[in-house]
Amino acid sequence: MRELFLIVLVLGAASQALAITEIQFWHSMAGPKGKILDGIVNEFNAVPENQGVFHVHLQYVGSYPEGMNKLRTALLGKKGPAVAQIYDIGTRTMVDSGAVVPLEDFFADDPSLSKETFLPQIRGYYEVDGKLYSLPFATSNPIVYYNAESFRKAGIAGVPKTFAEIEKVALQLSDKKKQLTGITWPLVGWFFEQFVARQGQDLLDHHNGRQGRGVRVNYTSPAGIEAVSFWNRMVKAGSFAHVGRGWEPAAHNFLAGRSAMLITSTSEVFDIAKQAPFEVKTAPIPTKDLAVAGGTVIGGNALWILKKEDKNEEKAAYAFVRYMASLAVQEKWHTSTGYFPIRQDVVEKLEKEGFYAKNPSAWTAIEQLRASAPISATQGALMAVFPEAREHIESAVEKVLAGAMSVEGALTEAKARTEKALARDNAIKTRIVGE
Amino acid sequence: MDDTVSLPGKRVGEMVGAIPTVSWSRILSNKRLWVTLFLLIPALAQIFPMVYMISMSFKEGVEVFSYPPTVMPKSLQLGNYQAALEAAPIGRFLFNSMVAALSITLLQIFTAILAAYALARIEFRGKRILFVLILGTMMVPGEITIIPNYLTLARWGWIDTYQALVVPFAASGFGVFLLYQFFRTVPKELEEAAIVDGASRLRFLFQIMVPLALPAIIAFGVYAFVSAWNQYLWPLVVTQSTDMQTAQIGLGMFRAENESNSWGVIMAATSMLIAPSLLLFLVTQRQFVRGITMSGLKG
Repeated sequence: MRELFLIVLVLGAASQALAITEIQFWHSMAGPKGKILDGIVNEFNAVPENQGVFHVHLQYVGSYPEGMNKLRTALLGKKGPAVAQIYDIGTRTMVDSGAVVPLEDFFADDPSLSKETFLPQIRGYYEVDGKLYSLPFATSNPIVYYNAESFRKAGIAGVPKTFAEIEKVALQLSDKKKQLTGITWPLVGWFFEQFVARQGQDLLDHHNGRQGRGVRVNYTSPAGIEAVSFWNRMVKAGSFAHVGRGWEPAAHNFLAGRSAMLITSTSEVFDIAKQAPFEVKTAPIPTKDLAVAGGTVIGGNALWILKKEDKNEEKAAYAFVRYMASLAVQEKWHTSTGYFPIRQDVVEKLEKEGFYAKNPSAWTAIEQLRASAPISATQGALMAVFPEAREHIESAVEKVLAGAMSVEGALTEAKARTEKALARDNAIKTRIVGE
Repeated sequence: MDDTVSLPGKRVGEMVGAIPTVSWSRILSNKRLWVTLFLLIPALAQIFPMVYMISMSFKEGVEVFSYPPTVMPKSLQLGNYQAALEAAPIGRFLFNSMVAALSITLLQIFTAILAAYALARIEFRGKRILFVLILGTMMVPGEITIIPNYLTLARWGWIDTYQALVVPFAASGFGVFLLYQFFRTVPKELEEAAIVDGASRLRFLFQIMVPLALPAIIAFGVYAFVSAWNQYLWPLVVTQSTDMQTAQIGLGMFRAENESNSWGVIMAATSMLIAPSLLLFLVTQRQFVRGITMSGLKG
């Protein structure tokens, strides 16, 4: 009889141990950043309160678009994760999917977090119809990296703030014989979007698709035309290194010392400084007219909590997301990757500790973020067809830079293509899973 | 000394304007030499990425970006290999890929042999339609089948298993077509003789037909193995843990899309991850080439 009692006791204890809620977290951070994320997840699992309660399994799911496709497929088979990391331009699609629980819904039961915890310029991007849907996790904006040695040699004090001045300086830093150019940035739609926002112009109607769904895009607005013309003028003058599509060629060009300036994401700030065999400094991106209010749009990714039949999984997902938003994690993520922190208190703490005095390059993006006017232009456009729209812009820019089309002609064509895609999407309102 | 070199029917010495000694003009008129030189150009172009990959895997930091690019690394350091091995369970990825690719290859060979034999040698109703349908599967892009296959496997509870990586690829339309072509070249008399001697169809197939078709089977096997090894989208969608992920996904883990990457480490990882399929091809190369030419599928 006593043996039987013992067995019951042991079985009871075992079932207690089995009550641990295990969830999946799907992410797209390859390379060293994936390793850092891995460390953070391990720390979450090692927190004493989480022992035997929550356990997060980290799963790499390919690039952002690949991860999105995997998620769609998995949701159809009801095999989705509890938390997914989705890129900025996937926001509209995720909201439309009906498969997510808005982050804000969890705040009611948790006094430790509220919308106000996050910097308004960052929060704004992931607020749809007034509701914060996801946790902005890795956020960035584009900044100018420059080769301080080239600048010193040419006797240039720093990076100027307007398009016209940048053109002048870039030409000054170029040398056709030595195959040196003044500036470069990746041929990626993101940069077009940023230059448009910097000039205070919405990319999409209905206030960037934030008050109703967007129907028309503003590619051919004066700001859009100017953004591509600025690009094109420098290519024609030989002061811009046009090295093709994708993110990497431009960065390689800069790191090899062949372009004096590079515009790319701040998420590269520590990596570039480490890899460059010369001194690198940073500056905010230029605009046409400094008097016009505008700014940059944040890029990066956010953490989304997915609906689950087992509410314990949703609870575990929120516990994890809350951990990712914590001061300690945000500080670690920011100082080790270059993505900027999403919380005001992290910036203040690091400022007090003198982190930015030691790493002035990392300050540029934060300063630029804070200087961004709180308007819909800098909140960023919301459209489910964003990945396609980027392709339309990229091929338009490519045609212009190759001299095959005029700026107006190429952008008009891109506009028509994107609007066709928008009309199609608005008609079906893409849903990953039916209600 | 010219006695040993002779052309059909004539001694070289008897030819009008014969070449007296070893001379440039004789070397230059050697057709083989020109063919070799000509083939060397595409061969070098083919092999260059491989050489460059290996060279980069030994380079340190910014040496990767140096302009103009260099083929010989400044120093032979193994740091990149060590970093790659530390960054991801490469051994596990290789093991998974090996299990999946080998199983797919063996299954495809097995199913292709049976189907090709039936189509080539047995008369039955609807054969032509069946054959066209099988050929038709070669024209369906693999991506289209992902969602239905996923849903089926999810219902069976097979997500994140080896079966999921293997079973959807158990048969190959191309394999059936290739072996069908080959089996048809084997004389019917051979089979009739075997049957007269009391062999069953299966016995004839596996004891006579298969050994005869070995070059074609090996050629198809190498092709099947390499395609299975290179799969990316399906393994990505159907795996849900690092323990089940394959080499190709592992490789993706090294390369971030919108950032500057450590190419030295990526190339070290790539070198390790492509080694098995490269080795397989080296070992079976001769049969591979023979198989392709014998089945009349040149190029």
